[in-house]
Amino acid sequence: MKYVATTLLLLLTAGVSALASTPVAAAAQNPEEAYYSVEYFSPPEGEVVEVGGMDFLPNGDLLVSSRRGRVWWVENPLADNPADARWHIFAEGLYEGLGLSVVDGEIYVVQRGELSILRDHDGDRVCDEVEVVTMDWGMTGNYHEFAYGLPRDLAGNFYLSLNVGFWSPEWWHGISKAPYRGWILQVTPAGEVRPYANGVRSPAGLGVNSAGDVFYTDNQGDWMAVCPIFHVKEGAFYGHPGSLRWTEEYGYGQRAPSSTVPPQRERQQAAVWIPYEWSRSAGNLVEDQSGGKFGPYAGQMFVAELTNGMVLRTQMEKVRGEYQGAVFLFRQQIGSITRIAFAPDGSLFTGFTNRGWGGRGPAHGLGRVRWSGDNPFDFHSVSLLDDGFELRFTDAVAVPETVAGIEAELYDYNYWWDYGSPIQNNTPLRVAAVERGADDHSLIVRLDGLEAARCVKIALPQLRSVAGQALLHDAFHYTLSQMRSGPVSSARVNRVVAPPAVKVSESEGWLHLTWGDATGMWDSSGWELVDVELDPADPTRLITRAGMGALVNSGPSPSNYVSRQELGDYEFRFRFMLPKGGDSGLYFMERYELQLNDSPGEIGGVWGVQSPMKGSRAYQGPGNWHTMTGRFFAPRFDADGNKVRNAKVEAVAIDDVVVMATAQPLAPTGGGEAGEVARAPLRFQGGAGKVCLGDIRVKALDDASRLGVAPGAPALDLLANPDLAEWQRRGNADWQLADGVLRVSGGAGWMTTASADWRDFELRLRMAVNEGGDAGLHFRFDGVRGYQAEVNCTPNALTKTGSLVGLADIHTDLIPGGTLFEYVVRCQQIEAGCEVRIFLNGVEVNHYLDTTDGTNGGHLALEIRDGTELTVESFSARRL
Amino acid sequence: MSATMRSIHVLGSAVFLGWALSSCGEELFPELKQVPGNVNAVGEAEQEPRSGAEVFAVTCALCHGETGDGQGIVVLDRPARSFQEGAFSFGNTPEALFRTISAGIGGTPMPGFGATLPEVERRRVADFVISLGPEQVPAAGAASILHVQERPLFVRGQFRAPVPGAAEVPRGLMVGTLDGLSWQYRADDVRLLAVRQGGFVDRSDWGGRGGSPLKLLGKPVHFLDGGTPGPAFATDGGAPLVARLRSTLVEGDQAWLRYRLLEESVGAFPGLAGPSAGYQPGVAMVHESCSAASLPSAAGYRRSLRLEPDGDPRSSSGDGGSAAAGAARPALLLHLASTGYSEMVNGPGNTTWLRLDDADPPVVMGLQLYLVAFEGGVGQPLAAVIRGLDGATALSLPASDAPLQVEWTTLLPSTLNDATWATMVEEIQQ
Repeated sequence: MKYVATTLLLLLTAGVSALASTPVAAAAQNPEEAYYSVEYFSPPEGEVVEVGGMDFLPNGDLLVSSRRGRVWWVENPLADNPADARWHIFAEGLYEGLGLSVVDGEIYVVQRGELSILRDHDGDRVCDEVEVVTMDWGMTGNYHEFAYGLPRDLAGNFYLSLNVGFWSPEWWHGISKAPYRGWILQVTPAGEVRPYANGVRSPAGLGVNSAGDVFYTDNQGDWMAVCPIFHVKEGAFYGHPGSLRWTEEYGYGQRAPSSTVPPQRERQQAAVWIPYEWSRSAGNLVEDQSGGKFGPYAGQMFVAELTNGMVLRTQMEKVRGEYQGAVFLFRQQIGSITRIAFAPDGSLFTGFTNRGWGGRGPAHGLGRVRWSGDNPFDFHSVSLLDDGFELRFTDAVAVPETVAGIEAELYDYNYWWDYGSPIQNNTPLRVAAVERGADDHSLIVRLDGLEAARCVKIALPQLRSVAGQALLHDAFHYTLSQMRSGPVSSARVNRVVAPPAVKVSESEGWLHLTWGDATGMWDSSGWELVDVELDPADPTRLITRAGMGALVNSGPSPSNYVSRQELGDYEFRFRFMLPKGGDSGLYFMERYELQLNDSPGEIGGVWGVQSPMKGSRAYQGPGNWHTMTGRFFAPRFDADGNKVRNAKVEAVAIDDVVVMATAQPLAPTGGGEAGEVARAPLRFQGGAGKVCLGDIRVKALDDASRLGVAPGAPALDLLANPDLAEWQRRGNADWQLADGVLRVSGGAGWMTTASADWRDFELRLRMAVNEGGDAGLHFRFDGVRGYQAEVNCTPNALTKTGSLVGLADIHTDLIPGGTLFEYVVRCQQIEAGCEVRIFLNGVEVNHYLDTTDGTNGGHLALEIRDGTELTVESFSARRL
Repeated sequence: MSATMRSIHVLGSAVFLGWALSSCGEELFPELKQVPGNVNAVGEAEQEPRSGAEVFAVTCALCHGETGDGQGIVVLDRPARSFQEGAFSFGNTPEALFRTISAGIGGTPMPGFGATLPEVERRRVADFVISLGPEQVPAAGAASILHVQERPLFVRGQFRAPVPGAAEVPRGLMVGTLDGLSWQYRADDVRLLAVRQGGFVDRSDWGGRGGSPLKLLGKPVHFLDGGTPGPAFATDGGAPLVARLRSTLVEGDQAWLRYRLLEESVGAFPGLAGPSAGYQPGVAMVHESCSAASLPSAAGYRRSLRLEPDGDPRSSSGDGGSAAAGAARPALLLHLASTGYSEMVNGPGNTTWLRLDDADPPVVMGLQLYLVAFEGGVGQPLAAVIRGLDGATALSLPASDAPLQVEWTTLLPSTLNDATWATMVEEIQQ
């Protein structure tokens, strides 16, 4: 199963990342520990250090920049006992800091939007001045537009890399919407930014070797099969098409490259593709220049790996003028490492953070890897031969008598838009021979059928040193971009394949009741939007801190959490986490309780009606985040109000494992409202015990907009006429009607009915607007004034889709961008005034009575703003 | 920054203060921290400070009611706060209340008492007002909330659209100063978007994956040019100049922004601006610092802008910020407002005051210019020359080879009409 990035920050993802766990006491089981020990530092009590950059000052003190915009000054970092290091905040208020470099005593930090020098003028070890080196790159404000750094080449140029952005719902397509996102930038000593290489996706780490060559790691995802290491070369293209927008071919921003069609452009070969089993989120890389203080791998590079929590090792060679090489396991079970840095004493410092993604604990903080002085028996290096490899080991090796114990295989990857790639074309390689190499530390393995543009995996599980020791790590992967001789291959390890079929937005039909403003669609008090984790010392307690990871009833006297919408039949979906003894419940219609408590024998059952299936292990206990799904059907009543069918709960599942098939409560369960009704709100119980919730969604299985509506005139299809004859259009927008679907883009514009007699009516549309798009349905519009039903998927907009603008605004992103939805607007003059009702996907989200002097009807109009892409699949109006 | 530069700051401030005191006998723009006991303002320096309750009864109760219930005898358009409910606009800590009492709340009838009450009385009345309210439950502040404590604080981060319809600000810069105000800048072109009062910043980008807008805890007291300001400086001919941030600097209790003014420049790469401010010669280097300011009848704020001639930074001694010897700064225009002004009066000390009824909200601006000599000299006051420019209001900044200091005060009366203007003019003339 691929590691799949979750969604936008604002989507209220559950706080998996916040779950810092104590370092796993696995030392005894990990044979690496005997050679490389790991120690952990203790930042000041209560402080969370989320490492983004590290470097040492000339005096040996360590500076650590963090994702929180701080730079920590760590004195005495090389102390035998890490607890003796002293921490203080050197700088506060930066915007992240995902790279830090000390050059000639000057402290350089790359912030999200600025490369800066931090200066302390009065010697008090507190930054006084933040000097701008440059802020010359584009930002849209997308959450994923990180900037990373910060190696410096021998000529004094800095390099930094810019992440593309990810917009929901098609978050799997990385997009470059601002200048030079998806690029690696060179910053010259004169402070000029030069776009240097492009095609990067999520280039979370950079590094430079002693030859001054710069490398970067990318993160697997679209167009990146797994995590690669690339040599950073001027003009190189690494494969992600987003960045091409900022090239002449695309008019320097005028046109966007396709998100799905592979670009016709030569791709730089990867120096190393790190297999998925080893790396899911690669960080920076550093060369061991300790001259042997860190063991036998001097001159090789080490790579930070976040998700799997380890340090990898890579050793490259130049073949046909380009870097390629091998990757090895080095030291596992460390923590969510984003940054590594060598200390003056030859120890390797590891900086942790995994906020927003999750990974091995510790989730934040600082560690240190030290060499014990003993040589492990391990691969040292690999060199490609025409017909195999020369393998060098860290100790004298016993030459195997046969090839029987040597495993070798070839494989490659897909180059496509989908998220990552499984291994492709996996074929075993015949081992022809094994023999002694140049000296007693080396072996030559001869292979039949090596070919360029493939990866090779070789495992030697039975190999022993002369002393009889097994390999500490018995396999490596070599990225065979080129053979030593023969024609230079233009093929790549990641091969162009037909793009997979388009993904369907999982969001269609749903209302996201906690996206954006998590509380706007709910009545509640005592519920807080926070990051949360289980108290490791007392799992009955939750530790909360500022954040947006979860909704928790952690405030004083928490109320129930009750939807403002009344619902009938629907699917539901939400994430939850419980502390030990945590207790809540999901009350459908505020009446029928689905148990949501820390009890495997009860959770997922309907209280007093139906227990969950015995033996289900879907619920994994306190501290684990789960997704609960299922369906609910309201009771049915006949015309006289007599109940003719009971309420029904069915297909309740935890993480897709069904825990309760069906339950039909005869009456409200304990704690529910009295009586039974056809429609009522959804309630999460707040007062019984603690619970953490996230991403609450419902998908109506009925359609409230069709309930109790008197038959009126037949619906008029407003898109029936191929030339849009009913409409007067103005503005720059481009209105394309094809196959009955209206697509509007290209600028701001209005489409207004010629007739101005629309007073009592119902509009019904099936439509979508892009993320960042802003449109509106105007009605009773006299050319200047009128009502507007909002269609707005701009992340920070003040009014969101479903708002009656200025009168009844909605701040929650009920409908994500790019997702088709049903929009019904009903406007009717009643005795008390003008009644406007707005329904999204069959749920009434707005009901407003305007008692001021209303207009006597007016035009209908559809407005789109600049930068909006609007799709209208159907648009009908019916007079009431 | 070089040692030379630092001494310029220090010396410059001293010169200004010395000149202002010696030539006028009083400060026109009393910085709150520069009102030690307010010796002469009410002639009560020799008296024992009054209790909080006494001050409240005399000074506050007219509007806020004798019991703090908000039902004072003065009827206001917007009712005064009821302190009994613990309702405080700009924070409920003693420090926050002290700042509010000192500086007032721009755009409301709440005046600043920084010039009329001694500090000890302002602190006492702050404590008293808190005692009127419900018992304080100390809420554990979110860990991501940043406070301005003993030194000013710069915070970089992104902003939501400051006002509806405006663009988001991916490169935002908040400055929190010790007077309880915070200053919301767009970093790209160093434009002040809004002045806020109250809390400072909730670093909400510490949650999730980051990259979310800062939550600005201060309430806006003024959106400049409606929250969507254009360039601040132009050539004498009206061509806009580009402002590029050079650095942010905390020096003592002052927060400085330093930025270069450049002719429109195009980088070598499409979509990029070209060499950054530190490495490109400009028209001028600006040092900007902001603080609260008020008249008895209206609260507001002041921006101190020091313009220095700018040489080629590449030829300077690695500082990249100091003026090259002998270079002169050309004449410039400083954009004051997007509307015209209706009245102008002169105050003591070569100050010029403008009444801007059409601004949104209506404001009164005070301007004071002087040249700062570097070594041992004193500031030489200049008359402010106001220019209308396409319906907007601008200040002429004469060419000079010495630094030019501009003190630009914006006052936000709750209402601006002939009567309140007359009151303000009277206060100005005193």
